[in-house]
Amino acid sequence: MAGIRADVEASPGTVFKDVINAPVLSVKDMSVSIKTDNGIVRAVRGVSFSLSQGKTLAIVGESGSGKTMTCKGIIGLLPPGGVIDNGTVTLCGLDVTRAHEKTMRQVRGFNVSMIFQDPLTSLNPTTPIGRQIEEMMVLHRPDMNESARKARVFEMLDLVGISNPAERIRQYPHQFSGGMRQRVMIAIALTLSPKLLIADEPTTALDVTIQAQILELMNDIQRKTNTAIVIITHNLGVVASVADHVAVMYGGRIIEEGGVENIFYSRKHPYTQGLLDSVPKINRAKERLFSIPGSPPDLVNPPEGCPFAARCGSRMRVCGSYVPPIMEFGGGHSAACWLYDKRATAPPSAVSATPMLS
Amino acid sequence: MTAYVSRRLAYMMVTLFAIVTLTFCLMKILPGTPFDEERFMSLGPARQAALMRQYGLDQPVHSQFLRYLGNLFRGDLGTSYFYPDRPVLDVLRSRIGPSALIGSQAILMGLAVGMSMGIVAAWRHNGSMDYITMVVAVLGVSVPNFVVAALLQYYVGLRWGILPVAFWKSWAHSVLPSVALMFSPLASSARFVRTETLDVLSQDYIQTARSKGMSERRMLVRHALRNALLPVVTILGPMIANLLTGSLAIEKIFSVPGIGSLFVESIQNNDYPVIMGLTIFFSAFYILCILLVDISYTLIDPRIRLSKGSEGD
Repeated sequence: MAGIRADVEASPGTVFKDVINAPVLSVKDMSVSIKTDNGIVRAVRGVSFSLSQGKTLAIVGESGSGKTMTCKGIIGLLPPGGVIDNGTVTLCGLDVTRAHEKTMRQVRGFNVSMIFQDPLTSLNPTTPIGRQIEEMMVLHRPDMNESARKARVFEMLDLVGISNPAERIRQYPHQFSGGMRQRVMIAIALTLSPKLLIADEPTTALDVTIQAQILELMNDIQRKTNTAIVIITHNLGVVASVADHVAVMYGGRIIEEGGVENIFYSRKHPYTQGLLDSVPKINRAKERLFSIPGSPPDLVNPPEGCPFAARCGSRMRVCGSYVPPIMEFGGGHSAACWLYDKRATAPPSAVSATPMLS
Repeated sequence: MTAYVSRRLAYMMVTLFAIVTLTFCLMKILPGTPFDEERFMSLGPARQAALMRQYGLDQPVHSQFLRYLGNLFRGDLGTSYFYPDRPVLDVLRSRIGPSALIGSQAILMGLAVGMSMGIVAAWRHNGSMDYITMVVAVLGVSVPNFVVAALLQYYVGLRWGILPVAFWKSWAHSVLPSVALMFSPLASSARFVRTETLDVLSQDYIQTARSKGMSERRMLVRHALRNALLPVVTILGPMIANLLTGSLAIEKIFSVPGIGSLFVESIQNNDYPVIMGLTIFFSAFYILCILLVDISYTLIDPRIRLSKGSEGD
C-alpha cells in the first residue's frame, strides 16, 4: 500500500501532503450552484464535514436535498453548469476546488472512487467486465504490466466474492445479475485501494436480500483496506448497518450531524424526527404510514431562514427569517435548529414534525 | 452462427426468386419490343420477326420465363440485345467500376466527416459546433444531390477550373461526383451519431468512466462511440447498397459510364437480359448488405445473438 502511494507522489502534477493523521476528506462551508434553464439552483449551501480513514459517513436526506451534488462536488464531476462557488474541499491533502482538471483526473479512481445507484446501467454494456476493472490500472498504473494487471483483476473479483474469475472476466455486464454487477462496480472502485469510496445509494436498485449482502461486503472490505466511505442513502436501515457518523441533509444544508446512536436515539432536529417516524415498523398495528407533509423547498429561490420551516411542526417566528445556528450537543452531535436556542419558547421535548393545526 | 448465415442465404434465394419473377412480368408489360426502335425500322417486319424468333421472343411468356430460369441456374445471364454478342455479365463488369469507385469514396468521406461532426456536436451539446452540424445535416438531407452537383460543376469545374467538369478519364474525374454524392451519407450519419451519442453520454456508465479519472477523449472513443454506433450501422446497409450501385442523376450529370446509367439505357432499349441481370445484381447486393449489417451487430453489441438460443450464459 505504502508503495503505491509513493509512486503517485512522484508522478508529475500531483501534490499530496502527508496524510497520516489528517482526515481523508475535509469539506468546509462548501456551496454548489447549478445553472439551469429555470435559474440558478443552489443545490448545496454551506456544508461542512470531515472523515478520517476507516470511517463511514452516511449522508441522509430525501431527493433534492443536495446529497448527490455534495459528493459530485467532492470528486469534481458536477453536471454541466455546476460549480463549487464557495468553500474548500480537501481530499488527501489536495484542495479539489483549486486543482486543475488534469490533477483531478489523477485523483479520481486513484484516491477517490465512486459507485452508483444502478448497477444495471453503470457498467459499459459492450465491454467485458475484466477489461472494465483493468482499465483502472491502465489509466493510473502505467508501471503495471499486463500479467500484474490480470492478477489484480483476479484478486479483486475474489475480494468481492465472484467465483470462477477466469471465465467471468471475459463476460459482459448483461451476463451478471444486479447484485453481481454491483460487486463488479465495487471491485472497479477499489482496484487501486483508494483512500475514499463514495457510494451513491449503492443498494437502492437491489432487492432486499442482495442489499444486505452488498452492505456486508462493503463493511468487510472496509475492515480489510481501511478505506473511508461516504455513503449516500435515504434508507435508515442502511445507515444503521454501515455508518459510524450520520449527516442529515435538507434543502442543501446539513441540518443534523452525529454518531449513529445520537441520530437514532437522541435526535434533535424535527426533520430527523420526521424521517425516523416515516420508517415502517413491523410490530405496529395496521395504521397509515407517517409522512412529512409538504414538499422540499425550491432551491432556485431558497427560503430565508431554516429550509425546513415551512413543513416544521415546531416552527417559531424566528425560523422563517434567520438561518438557525449550529448547536453542539457534545460527542460530535450537532443540529441546526432554533429550538435549542436559550431564547426558544417551545420546549425541545415537544419536537414534532407534524404541523400544528392553526 | 454458420446455421444462421446459411438460413439467411436460403431466405435470400427465395427473395431473389420473387424479385426475378416480378421483374420479368413487369418487363414484359413494358410497351414495345427490343427490335422496334427506329434504327431497326429499315430491317422491315420480316427481319424483325426473324430476330424475335432468334431470341425466342415469339414464344409464350411462361416458356420464356422457364427458359430464363433454367439459364440462370446454370449461371448464364444471357447476352445483351443492345450490345450484340456481349454477355450480360461482361456488360455489368465494364460498368461497375466507376460506380463502385464514386460510391465508396462518397461513403468513406461522408461517414468520416459526418460521424466526427455528430460526436463533437453531442459532446459540445448546444455549442456552436452543434448548430453547424444541425444546419449541415438539414441541408444535406433536403438539398437534392443534383443541385449540389450542378453547383460543383459550375464553381469548382468551370469558374475556378480546379477539377474536370465531367467524363471519365482519370481519378480526378471521380472527385466531383464523389463529393456530390457524399452529402447525403454525411448528413444522415451526422444526425444519427449526434442523437445516439447524446443518448449514450447521459448513461450512467459514462459517469462511471469519468469517475475512473479518464480523459474526455478516451471516454468518447472507448466508451461512448461503440455504444452509439449500433443504430448508425442500421442505416449503413441500405446506404452502402444505394451508393455503390450508382446514382442515376449523378452519373448522368457527370457523364460517368456507371451502372446507374446502364440501368436507364437498358430500360429505354428494352434490353431484357441486361434489365434482369441488373435487377438480380442490385437485389442480391442489397440483401447481402443487410445481412452484413446484422452480423456486424453481434460484433459491436455482445447482447445481440444471431442464433435462436439467446443468452450465451
